[in-house]
Amino acid sequence: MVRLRGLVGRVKFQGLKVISSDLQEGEEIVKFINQEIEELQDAARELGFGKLNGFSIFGEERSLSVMKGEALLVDTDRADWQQLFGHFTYWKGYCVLGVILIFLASILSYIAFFTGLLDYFAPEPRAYLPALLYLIGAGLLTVAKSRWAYRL
Amino acid sequence: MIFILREILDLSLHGLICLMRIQGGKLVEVSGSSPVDKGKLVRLVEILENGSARGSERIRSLGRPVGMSVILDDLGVLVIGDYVALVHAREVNWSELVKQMRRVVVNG
Repeated sequence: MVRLRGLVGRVKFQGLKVISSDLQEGEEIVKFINQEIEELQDAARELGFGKLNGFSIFGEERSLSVMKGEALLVDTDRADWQQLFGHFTYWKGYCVLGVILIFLASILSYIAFFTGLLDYFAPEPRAYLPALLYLIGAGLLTVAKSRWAYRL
Repeated sequence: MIFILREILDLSLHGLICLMRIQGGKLVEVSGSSPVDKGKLVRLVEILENGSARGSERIRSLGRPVGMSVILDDLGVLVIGDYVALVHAREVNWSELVKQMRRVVVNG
C-alpha cells in the first residue's frame, strides 16, 4: 500500500462491524458512514445511477474519505485528493517483464562494448539486440501503467 | 465575481462538466449545463449538504463543515459552500478542484 499524504488514521469495516481501526472514534465513524451510504444509494438510484463509487466529507481540519470497506481520516490541508480518490493499477506481469528485459539489455550492451566477448561481430550489429530489448522493455513499462481505478 | 469564477474553473480545469450555485433551494448554472435533471439533483445536493453538517457534528475531529463529494458511476459531484460542481470523475484533477473550489468559496 502506498503511503498516503496527510493520512491520520484508517478504519476498516464491513457493514456495521468494525474490523480494524486505529482511531478512537472508529465505531462512531462506521455508524455514521452506514447511514450516509444508505441515503446516498437511495438518491443515486432515484437519479438513475448504478453504482456509488464512494464519497468524502470535508471538514475544516480533517476530512473523511469512504471507499470500499474502508474509511480514511486525512488532514484537509495536507491531503492529496487526486492520490486519495484514484490510482493507477499496474499490470504486474508487464512490469516485471519490462524490468527483466531492460536488465538483460543492459548486460548485453555491457558485454558488447566493454568486454571482448562479441568482438567477432562488427560494432553496429552488437548494438541491435540490446537496443531492441530496451525498446520492448520500455514499451511494456508504459503499457503496464495504464488503468486508472477508483480507490474510492 | 461570477466572471472571475468562470475563468478560474473553466480555463484551468479539465474534466469539469458544470458549475452551479444554490440559490433559494434551486440550482442555477454558472457555467456549463447539467447532464442530470436539476430538479432531481437538488435532493442529492441536500443530502450532501446535510451529510457534511452531520459529519462535523458527530465526528468532532473534522472541525467546521466545508463540503462533501460523491462519485456516482463516473460522475463526480462536489458541494462546497453554496457551489455545486459536476465533473468527469476520471478526468478531473481532484486536488486542483478541491483547492480551487475552496478558494472560490472563501473569496465569494
